[in-house]
Amino acid sequence: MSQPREPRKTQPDAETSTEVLDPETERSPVWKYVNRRLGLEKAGLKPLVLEAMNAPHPRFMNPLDYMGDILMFLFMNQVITGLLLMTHYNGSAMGNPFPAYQSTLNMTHSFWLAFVRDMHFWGANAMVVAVAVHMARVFYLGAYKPPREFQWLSGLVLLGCTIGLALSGYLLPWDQQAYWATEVATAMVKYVPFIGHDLLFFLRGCRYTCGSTLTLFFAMHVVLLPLILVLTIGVHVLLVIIHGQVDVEARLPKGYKEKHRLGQVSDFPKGYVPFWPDTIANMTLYSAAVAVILVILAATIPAPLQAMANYVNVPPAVTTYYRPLPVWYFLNFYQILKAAHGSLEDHLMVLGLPMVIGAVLVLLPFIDKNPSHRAKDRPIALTVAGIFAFGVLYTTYAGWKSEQAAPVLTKAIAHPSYSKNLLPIFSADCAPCHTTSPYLANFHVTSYSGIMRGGQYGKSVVPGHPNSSLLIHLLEKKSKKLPGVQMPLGAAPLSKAQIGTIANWIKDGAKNN
Amino acid sequence: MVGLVPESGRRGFIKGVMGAVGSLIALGYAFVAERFMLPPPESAAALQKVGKSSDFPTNTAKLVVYTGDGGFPDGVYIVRLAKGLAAYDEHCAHLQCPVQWSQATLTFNCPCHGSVYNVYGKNVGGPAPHPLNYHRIVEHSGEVYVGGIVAWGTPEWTKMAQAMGAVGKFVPGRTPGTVRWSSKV
Ligand code: FES
Repeated sequence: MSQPREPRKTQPDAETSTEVLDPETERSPVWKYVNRRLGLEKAGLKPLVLEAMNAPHPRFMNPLDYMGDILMFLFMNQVITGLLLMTHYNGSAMGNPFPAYQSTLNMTHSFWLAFVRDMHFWGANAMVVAVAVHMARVFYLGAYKPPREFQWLSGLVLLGCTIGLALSGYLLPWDQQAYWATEVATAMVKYVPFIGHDLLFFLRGCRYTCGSTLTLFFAMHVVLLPLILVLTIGVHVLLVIIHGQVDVEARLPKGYKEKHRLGQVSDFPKGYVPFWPDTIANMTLYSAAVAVILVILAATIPAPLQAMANYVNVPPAVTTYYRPLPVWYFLNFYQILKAAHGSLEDHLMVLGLPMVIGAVLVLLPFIDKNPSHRAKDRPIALTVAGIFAFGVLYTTYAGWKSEQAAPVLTKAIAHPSYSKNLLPIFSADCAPCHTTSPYLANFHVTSYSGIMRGGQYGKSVVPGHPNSSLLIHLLEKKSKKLPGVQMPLGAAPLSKAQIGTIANWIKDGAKNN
Repeated sequence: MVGLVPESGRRGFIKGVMGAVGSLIALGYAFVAERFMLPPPESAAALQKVGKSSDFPTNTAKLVVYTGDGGFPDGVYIVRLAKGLAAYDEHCAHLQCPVQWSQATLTFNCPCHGSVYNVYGKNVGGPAPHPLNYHRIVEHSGEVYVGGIVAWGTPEWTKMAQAMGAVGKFVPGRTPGTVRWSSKV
């Protein structure tokens, strides 16, 4: 029973579309049902749907081209596991213990609850990685160039939502890490000129992160951001369907598209398969692979949960403070912030840097007037992006490195090397204060020249004479210049073996070895 | 009305009224929103007893917990300076990590990005863009009371800073009694 077709006088390509009606689709009962209810044909959308479904795709594509599909899968993973988590999560920060923390803690006590939470955790981390890779790939292919500007822009909205979801989700367990990471991340808002402080108050509902912040973030995490995300995904994907994928289009023989608007599989160039079902089958395979990785990660490495949030940050029975650390994908920014010294540099970093990056991302399709999609025609764009990517990776690595604990020494090394044995100790135990920017005492500890130069209190090392070196005095609490001071301040002293190693190095002449 | 004014004039009138009423409604909501969002003056929050005068000797900073009107606990450092007690909010002026008192150097050090504040709460190192926020503090017949936050940049903050002598250039490494300040702000 075929539906009477509407005469489509307004369709300029009416002739083409009648010519290529796909008999198989036409006969499918699903198509008939959907077409009649949604009025796809009436609305003139039938060619679009057919074109998308029958579009020729290369049989083998670069796996990176599937990042968008993988992201889609990851997002679905987040939705499913997130809905499940909501049934066991109590997002309140009133009372003791806080229900938000307690309910999260309870999840870790049951295998399946913990598993779902771990899937959500790893899915979130995977999404951050996949978004980065997807963006890099899109940039490399020049897939933001006309007419795909809106694809790029909607992608930026999706990027913003992903970061927002990561940030807001991070707070929900309400443990120390969650609380203080959110405190620091949201505090950046106060750098917005004029209205920053009010904006921050609005975002948190309090001066400092409090129960209202949790409620607000929960609402953002489960309602506002997913809603924006879903709507934007719709636009993003529709645009991909309309404009096609850059590298698929580029590889098709010239003029093929015009000739075979709604191509039949039999007309395809060699090595090409239709989008449905072949390419979709590939997507499913990639999704399955990612799912397996997620399951393995979730089953082996549980999502972290620290002690309950402590606003004053002094656990009663413990004398050591909690030291807030950023989540791994913000280690880069963290490392950069540590290098700022004083108000101006600080504003440049916290306010200037994100604004410049944001502006470049938004304006990219309009700045980059080079029409070519080929890598070798775009030396400037790719070099700049390459330097940027290197910077991100390097600062992330440096941030990570700066937080690694020094290797445990059982006994002083007789003839230590500066780079192999001393630097790890300095980086782990001294660098938090005496690091890239000369913070405390104008002393720069992570370079050989800095150690030798000393700081505000004079030379720190007298080669050959550990017993007259200020460095050793301060480590052993024996300094006359600074009586009673023992480095590292506010932390456990270095072990005898560590101090001995440093002393032996000085005895050997404090060489840059 | 109908018939008295030409049709086009009547339309214009209706449009004008519509615009005026619509704007009025929008303005009303904007006004209410502005009043609602405006945070109450925090420094006016109730005073709370945090200890005895003898709990706060010179040359040291002590962390006490102050629970503001919102019922939310906040860490406050209390320091006895030459000119009396001072109370600093524990949140770093950079990105609001809790600063830690270091007795050896008489500084507040931030564990996050390495900001350093002297005993007057003034930023002397690291990325911190300004000094610490204060809290109101009152010493009365041997008891110490802490009040609401006095944010940096407000006139009240400046007054407090001047009162405690926390203005000028800091020479680090000295005890509070012997800190030398240049007279310039
Ligand atoms: S939060 Fe204190 S230095 Fe950044």
